Amino acid sequence: MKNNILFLTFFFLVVAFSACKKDKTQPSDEANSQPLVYTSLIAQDTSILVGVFVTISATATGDELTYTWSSDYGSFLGSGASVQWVACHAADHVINCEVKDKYNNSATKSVVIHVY
Amino acid sequence: MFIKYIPFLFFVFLFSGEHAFSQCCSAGSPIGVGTYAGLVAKNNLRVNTFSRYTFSRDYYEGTEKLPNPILVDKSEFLFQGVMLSYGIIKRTAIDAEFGYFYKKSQKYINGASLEGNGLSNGVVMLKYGIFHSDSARMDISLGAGIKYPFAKEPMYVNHVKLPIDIQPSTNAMGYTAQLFVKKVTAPFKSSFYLVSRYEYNEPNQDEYQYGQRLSTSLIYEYSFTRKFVAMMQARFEYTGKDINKDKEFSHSGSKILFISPLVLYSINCKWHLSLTGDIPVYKYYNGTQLGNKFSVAVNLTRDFALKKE
Repeated sequence: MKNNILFLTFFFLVVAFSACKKDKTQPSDEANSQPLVYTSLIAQDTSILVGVFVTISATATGDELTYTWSSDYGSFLGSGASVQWVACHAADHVINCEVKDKYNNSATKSVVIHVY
Repeated sequence: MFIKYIPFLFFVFLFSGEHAFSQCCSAGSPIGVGTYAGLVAKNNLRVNTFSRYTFSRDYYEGTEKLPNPILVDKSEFLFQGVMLSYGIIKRTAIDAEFGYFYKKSQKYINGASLEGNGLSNGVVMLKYGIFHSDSARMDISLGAGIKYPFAKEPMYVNHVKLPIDIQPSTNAMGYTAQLFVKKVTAPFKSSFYLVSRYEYNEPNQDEYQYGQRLSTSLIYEYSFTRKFVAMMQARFEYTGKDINKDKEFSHSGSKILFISPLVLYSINCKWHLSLTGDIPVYKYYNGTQLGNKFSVAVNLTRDFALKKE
C-alpha cells in the first residue's frame, strides 16, 4: 500500500509539473529616459514565391530594445531588428514583431505576406 | 514463473508513442506503437528509456518524390524518452511517459539552419486487462489517458519563434486510447501482438491543432534463447490534417507503413537492451511534405518487483 501511494504521488507530480506557468510582466512605472517609439514594420516584398526568403525590418527607438518575432507559419532566420522569413506553402501569413524596452513597455506591429 | 515471461514483457517501451509531428518540413514522429502497451503485474515497476534518431530528406506529393527540395534540405531529431509503468492492483496499471528533444533541426537549401530542443509532451495512462486466459495464452487490455504539455507557450530562440516543425511540444492538451492484444504460441517461443493507439490533440494557444493520429502495429516475436529475442513489426500510421486557426492545413497528415526489425539482448535477465529501426516502405503525404527516411533507436528496460505477493 505504501508503495502504491509513493508511485501515485510520483505520477501526480509529473502531471503537476506541467502546470507551471510563466508570469506575465507588467509595464514598469519608471520614468523612461527615451520613450519607446515604434515607427514601422516593413517587408522588402509583401508578395513572394514559395521557398523565397524575404527581409522584414522593424524600426523603433527606445532603451535597450528587444525584438520578438512570430508568425502563424513559416521560418525566421536571424534575430534583432531585421530578420528573414520564408514559407514552404502558398497562403497569406501574418508576421508579428513586438518591440519591448527595458522598462517592459511594448508595442506590436504586423505585416501580411502573400506567398504564392 | 514470472521470470519466464520477462522477455515477452520487455518490449514494452521499445517504441514510445507520444506525439506526432507531421507538417511540411518536419522529421516525423519520435515514435510509433509497441508492445510496451502490455500490462505490468501488480506491484511491479517497469522503467524504460530509449534514444531515437530520425532523419528526413526529400519532399513528397502523395506517394511521389519531388526531384528538388522546396526549402528544407534535411531535418533530423534526437529524442530521449522515459516511460514508467506500475501495476497498482490486479489487472490495472498506470503509465507515465515523457521525453526530451536534445535536438530538433532543419537545414535549409541555402545553408542556414534552425534548431530547437526541450521537453516534449507527457502522457499519463490508466490500463486495464479485460481478458486473460492461461489456456488460450492470450491477453487483451485497454488503456485511456491524457497528454499534457510541459510548456503551453511555443519555443523562442533569441526572441524568434521557432517554426512549428521543430517545436519540441504540441503546447496543448490531448487524449489517448489504446488496445493491446497478445497471443503466445506453443511452446512459448513466439508471440503475436496487435497494438493500436489513438491520439487526439486540442488546439494550442496559437490555435494550432495537430492532427489526430492512429497507429496500429502487428508484431511477431521469437525467442531464440532466454537472452536473445528478435521481433518484426509492421506498423501503419495514419495522421490527420492539422488545423490552423479553424482552417485545415492541406500540407499535413499522412499514411505511412513502417517495417521495424528489432533485436533484444538480456543482461543477467535483469537489464534488457534492444536496437530497432523504422524503415518506411509505403508513404502517402497530403499536399507537399518532407518525407521520413529512417529512424533508429536504442532501448534499455528493467522491471522491478517492489513487493512480494
